[in-house]
Amino acid sequence: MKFGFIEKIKTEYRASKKETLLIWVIMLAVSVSIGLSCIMVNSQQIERSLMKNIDIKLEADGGHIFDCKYSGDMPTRQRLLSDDRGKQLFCSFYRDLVEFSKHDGIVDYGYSLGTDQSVLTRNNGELTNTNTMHRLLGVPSANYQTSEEIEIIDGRFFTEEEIRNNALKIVVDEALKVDGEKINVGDTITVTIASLPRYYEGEAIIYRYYTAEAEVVGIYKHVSVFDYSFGRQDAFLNNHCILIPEGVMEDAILDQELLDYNAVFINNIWFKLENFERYYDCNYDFYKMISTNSAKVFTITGGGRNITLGRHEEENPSQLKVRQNDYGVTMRSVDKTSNFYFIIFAVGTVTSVVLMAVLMTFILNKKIREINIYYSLGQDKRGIIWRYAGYYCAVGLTASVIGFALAYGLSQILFAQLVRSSANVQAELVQLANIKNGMVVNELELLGMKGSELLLSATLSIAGVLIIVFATVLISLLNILHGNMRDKLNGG
Amino acid sequence: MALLEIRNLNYSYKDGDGKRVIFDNAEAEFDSGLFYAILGESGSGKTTFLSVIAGQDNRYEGEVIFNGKEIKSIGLDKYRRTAVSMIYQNYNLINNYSAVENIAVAMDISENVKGLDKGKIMSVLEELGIDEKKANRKASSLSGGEQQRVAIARSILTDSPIIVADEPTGNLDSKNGQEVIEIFKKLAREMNKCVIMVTHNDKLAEDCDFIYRIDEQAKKIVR
Repeated sequence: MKFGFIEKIKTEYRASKKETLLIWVIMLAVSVSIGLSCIMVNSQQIERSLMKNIDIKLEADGGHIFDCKYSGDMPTRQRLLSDDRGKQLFCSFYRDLVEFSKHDGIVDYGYSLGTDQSVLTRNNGELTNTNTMHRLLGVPSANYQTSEEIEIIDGRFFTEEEIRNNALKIVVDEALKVDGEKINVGDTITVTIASLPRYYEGEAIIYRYYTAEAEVVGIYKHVSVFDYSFGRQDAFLNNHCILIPEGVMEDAILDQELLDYNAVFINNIWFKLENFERYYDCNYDFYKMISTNSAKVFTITGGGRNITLGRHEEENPSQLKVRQNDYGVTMRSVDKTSNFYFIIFAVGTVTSVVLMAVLMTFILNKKIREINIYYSLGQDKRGIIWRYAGYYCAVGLTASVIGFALAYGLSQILFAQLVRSSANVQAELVQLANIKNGMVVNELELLGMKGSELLLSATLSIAGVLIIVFATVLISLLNILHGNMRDKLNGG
Repeated sequence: MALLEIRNLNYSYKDGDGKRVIFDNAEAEFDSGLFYAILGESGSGKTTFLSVIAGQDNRYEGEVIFNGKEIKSIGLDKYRRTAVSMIYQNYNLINNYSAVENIAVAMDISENVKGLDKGKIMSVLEELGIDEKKANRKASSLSGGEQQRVAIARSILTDSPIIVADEPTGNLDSKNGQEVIEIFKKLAREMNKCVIMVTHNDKLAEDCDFIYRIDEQAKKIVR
């Protein structure tokens, strides 16, 4: 006959079924709360899942998959252009900001991505510090100032009217200098969009294809944000950014790209326009231009590989659908809801942990007689602690594993509920769907978690329960075992 | 050399502003194969003495020597696991465990026993009048006499050379009480155990090989 660990657990369970079940239920509640907190706190998962849903919707519509990539703590979005049915353009903005990466420097051996330059001049003279990466970022809405990424420390942000009218105003980073001097509100800056050197017969030529004088209306301070995956890092706007109303950027880029390449390059994807001559030298709104001209648009693979001047290699062309969207607002409402859930779960966790600790302490105090018997049989204090800790941790382990599984299931339901309750998301899905309304919600994909994220959440949840159980047992028993045992052996 | 020797035992504790002395240089010796009684009035220090020799109380001065070694140097936990087994007036069984489980727990803790033999447990219990059905019931559902027999079986099966009993017949009727005394005698004489029984009952003590009396005035143990 063996009396190993399993046998001891079985014996103890047989002897104290009711108490064990009660404790187990409360441990389950603790585990579900901790599990939900770990899962739902990661809003990136929610965002990723939502975006994936929209991807699927686009695919279901017969269009190319809307490719949404994460870049640090911020996804970069793609632009899609209308099809021949003249639908509205789709622009997705994360926190109401769209980035235009102006790629140039096309050389005959290929090029690398991600470099764009603007040459700044101030009143007179040219700035030559073009070795730093400056970004001109097009802002589509005055709402951006409410994001967490910038703090206006002098002057103001754009007004909606200025953005609508493509006013030549800019907001710059406090660290930006021109000719070694800080920029002030009221300064006029000449903004130039220029290319990297292009080589023709060995000679480097730089194209400056957009120049305008813009007034500095505000100075911002960039902040760092906490990213769940990468920790604290600079927010998307770093200290080389110049914000400008979006419409100004579009006109500038479109003209030149159309001229040069018969296509536009936006966010790492080239979009080729058929009948591009219609758009040449257009000075009006890009969206309107495309949407009213029934362009047929194809994508060419992103990355810029093997693209030479004046010639494009088409790879994987596909038809695209477009629609308009204010994704930033959607994500903010989703964030708010998931934060609310997190608070609920956190409170639930604390409450159930306290309840569990109190109940376990009560149960262990009732076992003083039993503890004394072990002591009189020769079990030392450490052995007594491990005996009970082992038992309750085994109980806790089963509760926490099942609890986490329950938490995962609940998180799926909550996610679906979150999406259903978000009018913005619903509106987006319905617009996208072009299918039977009401079917949209049913086709929602589950809250997706990466395997590593799921494993981390599960580990935290299970470990959290076990640590709490062990700590409670330890503290209770140390209290009971404190002092001379003989005094407690009340005749046994 | 005796199996268990008590030398210069001094035991006292704070009593309000003063100090109450229980033992003052008390001495005693115990050997294997003998059945001892410790007699004394209530409050004379019988239970204190038992607690000291059972390794449950270390607030004494002097020496308690087991097989030539001071029990504090052996380690009181180890001493309790290997050398001594206690039987209490109220049996001290884990109520929700069965008789077999109570014994199994004790054997598991004891360092004298390698492995558990359920057959042996049942055999000892049968000898003591506990059949298989009763052996698998919860200890709390057994009668007082049966519980005390289970406690005795526990002591036998942990194979401790010293068995210390604190008023073992206190909660039993005279028939059961007498049967317990007979078992103790057998343990001492046939199994070569050193059985030390604390009692205030002179009549029960008559069955013992040696009687120690606690002299409350002199704070000593007198044979």
